[in-house]
Amino acid sequence: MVTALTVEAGLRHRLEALGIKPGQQVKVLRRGWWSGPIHLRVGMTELMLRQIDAARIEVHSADPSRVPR
Amino acid sequence: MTHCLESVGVVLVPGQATVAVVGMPNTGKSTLFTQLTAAHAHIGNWPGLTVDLMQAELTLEGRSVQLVDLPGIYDLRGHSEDEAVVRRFLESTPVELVVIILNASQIDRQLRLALQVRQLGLPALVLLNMADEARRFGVGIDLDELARRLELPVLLISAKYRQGLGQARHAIAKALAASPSGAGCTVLDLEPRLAAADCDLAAAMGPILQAAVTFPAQWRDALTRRLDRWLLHPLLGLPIFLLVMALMFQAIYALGVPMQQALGALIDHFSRFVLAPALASWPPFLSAFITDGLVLGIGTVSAFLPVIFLFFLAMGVVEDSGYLSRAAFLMDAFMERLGLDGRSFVLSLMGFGCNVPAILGTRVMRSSGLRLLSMLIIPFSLCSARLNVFLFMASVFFSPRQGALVIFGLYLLSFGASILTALLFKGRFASEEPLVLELPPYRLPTLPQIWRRAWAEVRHFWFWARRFIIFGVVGIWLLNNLPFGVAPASAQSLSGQLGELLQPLLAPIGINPRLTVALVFGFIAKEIVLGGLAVIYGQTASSGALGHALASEVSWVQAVSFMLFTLLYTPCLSTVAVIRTESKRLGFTLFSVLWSLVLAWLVSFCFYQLAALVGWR
Ligand SMILES: Nc1nc2c(ncn2[C@@H]2O[C@H](COP(=O)(O)OP(=O)(O)OP(=O)(O)O)[C@@H](O)[C@H]2O)c(=O)[nH]1
Ligand SMILES: [Mg+2]
Repeated sequence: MVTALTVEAGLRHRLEALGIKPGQQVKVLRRGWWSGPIHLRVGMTELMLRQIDAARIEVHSADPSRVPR
Repeated sequence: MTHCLESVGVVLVPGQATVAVVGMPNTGKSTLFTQLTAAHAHIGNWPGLTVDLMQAELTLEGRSVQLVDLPGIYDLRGHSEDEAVVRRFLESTPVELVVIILNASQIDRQLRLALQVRQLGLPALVLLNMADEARRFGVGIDLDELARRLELPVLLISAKYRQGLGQARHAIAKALAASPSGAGCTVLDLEPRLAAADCDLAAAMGPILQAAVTFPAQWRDALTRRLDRWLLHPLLGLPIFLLVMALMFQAIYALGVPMQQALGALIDHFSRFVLAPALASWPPFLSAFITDGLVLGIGTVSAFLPVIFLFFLAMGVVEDSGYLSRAAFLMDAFMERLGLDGRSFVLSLMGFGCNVPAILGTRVMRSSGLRLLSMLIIPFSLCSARLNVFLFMASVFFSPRQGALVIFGLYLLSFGASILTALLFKGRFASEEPLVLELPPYRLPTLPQIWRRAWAEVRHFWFWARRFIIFGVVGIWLLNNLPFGVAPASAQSLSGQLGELLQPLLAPIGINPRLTVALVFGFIAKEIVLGGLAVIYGQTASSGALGHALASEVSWVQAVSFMLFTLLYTPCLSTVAVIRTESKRLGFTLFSVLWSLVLAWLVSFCFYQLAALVGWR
């Protein structure tokens, strides 16, 4: 579950348009090779996000065994 | 593809209603546009494919309407160039109706855009597209409830499978009938109005969704999940992608080259046994101009139309399936280290069709460093116009098996040049642009769609090739025969002089004066190169067999050097023009042209001199 977005306004708008906003469940599907992007599912949408950008999305994990960074 | 060079301003016709198609990227706006009108907009399963306006006329229940296809927008307040195009359009053009297209299966987030448009007070209509996917994924929508809460008409359609299009037409006509003609509105103060209502938006969305939409308890797209398990596999994903690409090119080559040779032979026969006797009574220079110039030039190039058709069929399948976004995912880590991102890679792939739309496609990027660096590497993509030169040269100088390897090598070099360029210049075009990209579900390409696409590309190629060749043939023919009285194409003719003039520069890379003329004309467009060679060598060869004439004067090492140069130097004037308009910088444009020339010369030089050292020539 997303708790906060600590990103600049432009990216925040884009993320919100794609469904990533506080209170929303996200699920990490996989990570790319060579510390590549991560593959997420948010609602009915799948998307990819670079790890450094994902790091600015604060989440609180529902399942402690899979903590998305 | 819409190869329009400048941003098409919309032409308004008095008395005609303007209807704009607005929606998030990849929701099927261009598909709807193409289905409703006779126009051909480029369609593909890749968010951000349309980056420019496109308009076409249609008649709805007796009323003439201008339909405008717009780039997809995530947010009316977004700041990438394609979103700015939409905003400028809404602020400057009076529209009678906005057709909002939403992907029905992703209505959970896309509803936001409909609410934004409603806030602007524009007359609007909502089309929920991809009804087929919504059904497949188990998303249920209560249309009446949704329409009541939005206070807008709502229809469920499937543009790709032509479902509900009749009702959509009728609904648009009805909405237009409600507004008197000429009552179109533009939006004033778009930004502040949206900013003010931002919080209400989030609050309004929840209850509407709750009341009108039911979502599946579990994600149901088993096909996408299963395919992604392999195609995005951390270790196998990339090898699979490369294998798929290699197989695709192999198939095009295996099917296309025999077709090209058969067609080439047919055209040759026609020219020799039908046309030549028919023109026998004409003045010799005129009949030579027609048979050895125009017909040979156009014939040689048109023999490649089947290959180009096959090529774009294959591209169509890749673009429409959704594999492009996966390619972006797989390549992003690598591209990041080159100062680029996964989207640059996908645009480079699109550049294999034609560089111009690929460069326009960089509009989805916001950071100017990233955009410029991408524009710098895209021209190295081996486009279809260059492919026909290489296929021809490879068939003249090599056995089919070696030829395939040579072409494959040129594709590798094309990537190599991009990588090198990015590595050298990433420091100058730095960017910190975040990358967030949708991965749409896999979709089955439909035959009519990719067929239409490939057909449009072939027509486009044929149209330009014909023009350029006529121009090139006339130009080169004049250069060969002026000043009056010289032996055609001799050292005294203008073309001979031009060739000799550049010899100090081009002799070290094995380009003789005649090839030089072809390269000079190739600067305008690569379609000319082959037609030009046909004129240059056809005029001197008595039999008209271009291949033989070429092979008797040029060694295979020279031929490879020529191909290397052709691959790497400026693709065409259209590309230069579009780089200029998109970058808005003359200095950058000149730099891009200069760098490609320098790189082309260096690579050809190294190859030719090394070959000499090894004793190959
Ligand atoms: N399943 C399904 N796919 C559709 C439908 N309509 C369009 N598509 C597919 O959706 C993808 C996107 O279609 P486009 O028409 O290019 O979308 P667009 O809205 O113009 O996208 P941008 O130009 O990127 O903004 C293509 O692969 C289409 O074939 C539909 O009704 N059902
Ligand atoms: Mg489009």
